[in-house]
Amino acid sequence: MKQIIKKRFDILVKLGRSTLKETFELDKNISRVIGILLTSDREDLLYHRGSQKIEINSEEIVPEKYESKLLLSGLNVSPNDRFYKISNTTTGNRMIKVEYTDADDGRSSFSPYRVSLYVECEIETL
Amino acid sequence: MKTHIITETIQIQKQSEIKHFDIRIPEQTEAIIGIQYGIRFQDEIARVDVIPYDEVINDHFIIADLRLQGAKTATWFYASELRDNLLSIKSCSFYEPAQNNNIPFIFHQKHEMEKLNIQPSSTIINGYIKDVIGKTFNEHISYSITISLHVSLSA
Repeated sequence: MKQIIKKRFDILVKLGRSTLKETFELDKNISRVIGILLTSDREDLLYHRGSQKIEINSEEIVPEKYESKLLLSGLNVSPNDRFYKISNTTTGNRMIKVEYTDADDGRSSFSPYRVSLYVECEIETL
Repeated sequence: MKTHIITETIQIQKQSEIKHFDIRIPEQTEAIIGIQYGIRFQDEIARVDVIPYDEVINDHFIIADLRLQGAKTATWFYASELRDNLLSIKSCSFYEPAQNNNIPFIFHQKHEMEKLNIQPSSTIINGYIKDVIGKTFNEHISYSITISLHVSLSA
């Protein structure tokens, strides 16, 4: 039987115009990653300033310069539809690598913020 | 089906500027299946003449025109006006746009890719971008456009 769980990993952006590299490890009982979603405690900054590269199990899910706004879901979206579905992802080394870049945008001014990556995973249970 | 995303960033700095650019796609590409774009302003866009940007009815502007070519069966396979929201939380009261569900980072829908089904003729896609927002406000506005092409790859 398959169970669906959701995990959260945080990146703290303390400096503007910076790139942060973080690696997160998935639990051993996770068999597949099926969706990803970005949120923040300052969604305006994530929306306007953020871009990232995400690798899961050494497979590039989104490339460098892929804008964070393309992985956000607003309040208008049903909780069941908020995740961006990904395919072909089986967890091998169970590592999630995120390279997050903050860059200036004329519609926002920097202050420290948190970026949260939510990951939707499948667990095989007997 | 294995998919891949390719990004390309184009800088615009002058009013009515036209930029030609190339996007390299992998040799194994079977089809271009989708496109997305994002716009980032280097200038503080809200500083110029704040009043038109604050009107809720007029918060989305055409930023630029985009065209792409390089398909097997049609020369120009994509043409679109790139639009974005210019509302800045600094330049307007939160209350008014919130009432109208207009703040993009809170009330927007999912950014799904725009679906395409294009067989490329080579590993290079040619593009053309023309500034519109600078012409609209009659000044040089500096911004970058990141185009993300989703492609399907042969096994």
